[in-house]
Amino acid sequence: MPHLLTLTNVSAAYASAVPVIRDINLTLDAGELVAVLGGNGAGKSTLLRTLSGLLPCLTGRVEFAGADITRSAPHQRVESGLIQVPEGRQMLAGLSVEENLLLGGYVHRRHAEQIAQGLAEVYELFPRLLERRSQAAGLLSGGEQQMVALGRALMAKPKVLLLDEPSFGLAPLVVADTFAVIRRLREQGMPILLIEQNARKALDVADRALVLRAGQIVASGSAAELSRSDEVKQSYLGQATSPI
Amino acid sequence: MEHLFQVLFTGLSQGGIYALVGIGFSLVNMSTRVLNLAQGSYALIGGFVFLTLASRFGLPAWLAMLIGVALAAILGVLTERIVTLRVRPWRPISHDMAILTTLALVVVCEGTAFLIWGSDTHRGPALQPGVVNVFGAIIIRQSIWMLVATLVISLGLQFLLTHTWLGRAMRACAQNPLTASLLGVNTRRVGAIAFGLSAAIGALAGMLVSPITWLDYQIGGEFMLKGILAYLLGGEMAVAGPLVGGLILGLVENGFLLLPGTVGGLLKQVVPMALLILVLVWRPQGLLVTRRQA
Repeated sequence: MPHLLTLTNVSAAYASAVPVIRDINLTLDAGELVAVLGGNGAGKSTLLRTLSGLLPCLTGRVEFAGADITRSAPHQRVESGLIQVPEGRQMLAGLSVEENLLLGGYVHRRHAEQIAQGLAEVYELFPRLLERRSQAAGLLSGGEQQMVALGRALMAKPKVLLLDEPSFGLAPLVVADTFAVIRRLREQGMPILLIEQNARKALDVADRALVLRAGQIVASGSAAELSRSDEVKQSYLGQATSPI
Repeated sequence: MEHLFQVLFTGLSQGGIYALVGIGFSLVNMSTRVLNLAQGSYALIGGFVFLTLASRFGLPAWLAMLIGVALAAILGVLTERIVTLRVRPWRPISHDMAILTTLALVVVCEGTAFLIWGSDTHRGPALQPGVVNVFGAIIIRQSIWMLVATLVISLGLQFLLTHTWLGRAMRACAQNPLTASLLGVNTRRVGAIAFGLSAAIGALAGMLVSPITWLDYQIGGEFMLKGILAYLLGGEMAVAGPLVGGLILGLVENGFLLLPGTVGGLLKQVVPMALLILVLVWRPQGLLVTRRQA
């Protein structure tokens, strides 16, 4: 059975032709949460940019829902259900909270009732956003912006959700809330690819995980296996021997 | 008193034309971050196509306008295609190159207009010839149409931007094009639509003003300058900025015909520029924008 998302030998580079990520092989199946771990500069965000079409593949193939999307434009990937929550939340700062959420449903714009229903669902998931619906998104707190970013992505009815460092720049309490939402989405069966520096949090919710270092995958396995592996413990969990 | 009213009205209707060209600048700039200098050239081409079809070939005015607007819109979309020919998500637009390309287009349009219509000034047919007498002031009917068109187009665009998906997409591109594309917005198409729409509005401005100021092949540069002035004076608000900027510009230009002994002329050129310098020094964000946006 083919995977929902398959990356085969994917390499990508910025302006200089030196690849930032090399020979990435990765699969994601229905109902699965796969975490990609790695430190700063390991190529995590580059991987996501390549996945969403903001960077070209130098080599390799990206297949999604049975179609080859290696050369697709970003908006085409969104139309096919591959939805990214970008790092740093990327609010449309001057637009209201509700307009941000509505634009999340841009690909379904011809189905007004679907948009209205999606909006109601997001407000149910994040009641705080209903209170702030007419405020400019740029004036919200980091945690509230994270809600907008997640809600905006859900408005698109993702087939696969790509999360880029959801813990980035957030207070610990807000990070916990965010991961509670991620866990809930996983339990509802949403396939998620989670890019995260906070390895402990990520391994907590993930089924499987990969470790990226200097643009290559250096370890992979079930979340439980990786939590026990000495390499991951030393590099990313900040502990030498004691079990979690 | 009649004289005052007459001058004010002339100023407002003239200013409306500047506003329309300025709105073109602002629509394109918000959607693509490109300063499209060819904005005045659409008014040139649109105006000439209109007056040729209507005067020489005897087409009904509405049909001639429709054809001129459509041609200008195509020209606008073409401009976008040329400017973003090599643009990809990972290879962003070079703004220097884009500006120079649109400047080259200004010259191309000017040259084309010279080859086709020569160096004479041409006068376009008025939608409704003649004047009306309002409280003793003589008002040209055409200038009423100019002002009405300005207000209707401004209101329409404001509605488009706040209440339609295209408008929301444009504002998303204005805020953050990368995020817009991650939300599924085809940013290049939105840019092309903005170029086309701006060109169509510019062409309409050229047609409306052609019976009053007359057109020659160099008028594109004039429109461009006045449009940029309107845009900079008002500030970076999609519609309201250039609208208010344009109206003020028109009032200022005509305002001192009220002073005894002045005959416009050189002052009409100098004063708007001086006003722009003052605004740029004391209120660089424009008259309407309250704080500088990050």
